[in-house]
Parts: sequence; C-alpha cells; structure tokens
Amino acid sequence: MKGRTLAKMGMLAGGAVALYVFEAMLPSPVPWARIGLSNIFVIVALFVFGLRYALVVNLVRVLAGNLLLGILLSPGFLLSLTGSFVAIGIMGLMRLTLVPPLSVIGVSCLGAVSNNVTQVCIFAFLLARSLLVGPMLGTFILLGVGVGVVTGFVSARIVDKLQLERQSLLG
Amino acid sequence: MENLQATKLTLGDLIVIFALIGIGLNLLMGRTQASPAQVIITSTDRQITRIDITEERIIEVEGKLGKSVIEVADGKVRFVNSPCPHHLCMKRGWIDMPGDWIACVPNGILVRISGESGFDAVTP
Repeated sequence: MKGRTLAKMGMLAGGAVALYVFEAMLPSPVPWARIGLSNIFVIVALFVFGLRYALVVNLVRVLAGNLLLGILLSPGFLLSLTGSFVAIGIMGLMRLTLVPPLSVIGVSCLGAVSNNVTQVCIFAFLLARSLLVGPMLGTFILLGVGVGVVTGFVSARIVDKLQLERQSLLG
Repeated sequence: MENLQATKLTLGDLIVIFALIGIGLNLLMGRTQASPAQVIITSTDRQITRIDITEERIIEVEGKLGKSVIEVADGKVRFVNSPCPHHLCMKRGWIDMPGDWIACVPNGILVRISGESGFDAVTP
C-alpha cells in the first residue's frame, strides 16, 4: 500500500468511524436501526480503491465504532458486522456484473437493502420467530431504498471529486 | 473525463430502485391478510380433520360415545349435537377467534381454530 493510498484509507476509515458514532446519537424509534450514513465512506472506498479496501474500511468502522459506543460483541454489533459484510459482497459483485450498468446510486441502494435484509433475517431467525417477518422485511427494504439513494448520491459526488483529483495528478 | 458520471442515474439504477420498491411494497401489503384459518377437529382415535373456516359445512365425527355433529359457517364453528351427558360443548356456542377451541371431553373430540390467539386470555 503506497503512502498516499494509506493516508486516504485512513481518512476514509476515520470519517466512517466518526459518522458511525455520530449517527448512534441520533434518536431512533427502533433500537439498532440506524440510517447508515457511514456507509458513504465504505462505498467511496469500494469505487475509488476497490473491494479489498472497502472491506478494510468497513472492518475498521464496525470494530472501532462499536468499541467507542461500548457495544462491541453485543447482538447489535453482530448484526451490523454480518449485514455490512454481506452488503459489501453484493455491492462488489453488482458493480461489475449487472448488464445495464449501475451507477454509485444503484449499487448503494442494493447495498443498503441487502444490509437491512440480512439483519432482519438474522434477527427473525435468532430472536423473534413468532413475529410477522413479512411486513418488517418490507418496511426495511423500503427504508433501505430511501437511505441507499441518499448515501449513494453523496458517495457519487465524493467519488467524482476523488477521481477528478486522481486524473489531474496523473496528468 | 468520461469516468465522471457517477452522479448520473443510469437505466440500471432506475430498474434496481423500482424493483426494490416493488418488492418492499409487496411484502408490506401482501402478508397482512393471512391465509384463512382452519378448523382442526381431533378425535380420540387420533383422526384429524382440517376444514377452512370460510367453508359452509356440517360434519359428523365419530367419538367414544357416538357421533358428534359440528357445524362450520360464516367463519365460525360450533357443536350442533353430541352424545355427551351435559352438552357443555354445545353450550359453548359459536367460536370464531384464532386459537380458540371447544372440547367435548366425554366424546373425546377437540375442535380448534388454527393460529395464535392475539390475547393472553379471553373471559366470556
């Protein structure tokens, strides 16, 4: 990893942790339900640096973020760890394979939704077998689309800027 | 400079977004009306009869003492006749709540409506 990349990775991971912790302070109607703004940094890492770097940023984000919040190894932590890694896997795959190509926004939507779906499925399987999973899943898919569009739009702007900068540096 | 189109929505994006919204709405609306509850009739010889509660039927079930007559109508169930001494099952009248049941103990017949009762307990 070159020095410049290392510095950028550090910035991305730091930003992700900061947003992650900030977001936890926002009031939420459901415990563990979060907007997912810190995903912006993971998406930027995925698009600008590639899948491996996105995985690193995400790992740092979830570990350091939950450590700072004091909920490391709690059920919520396990949900967000599995959910975010499934989401990155799907985003990495969808970015390359879909036939009508997706922009950052579409990939971000898929990521947010797959994150939510994974978490709801694990939650339903482990904790709440008798709850109605269908409406819950529907709600979280719709929330995921909304959040995914917003984070995707912001990420897209940052990706644009970073790529512009990279091209001007390369001459 | 042709890479700098990340902010533009592509056709693929729109397809993905609308497909996901469709799936989400479908899940949200679709599961709210559950499949119709079933009437489950169990007799002592472990024979189980299942009838949709929406059907209109009168059935006879063989028990320890003789034939019990059970009626399913308008989403409700009742014992019409039973060869038991006190006819408690018949006096119970119609039941229509998921999870509710009527037992005719002397004749060894249990009539149950499938599903979970939404209440901790129900008093008459």
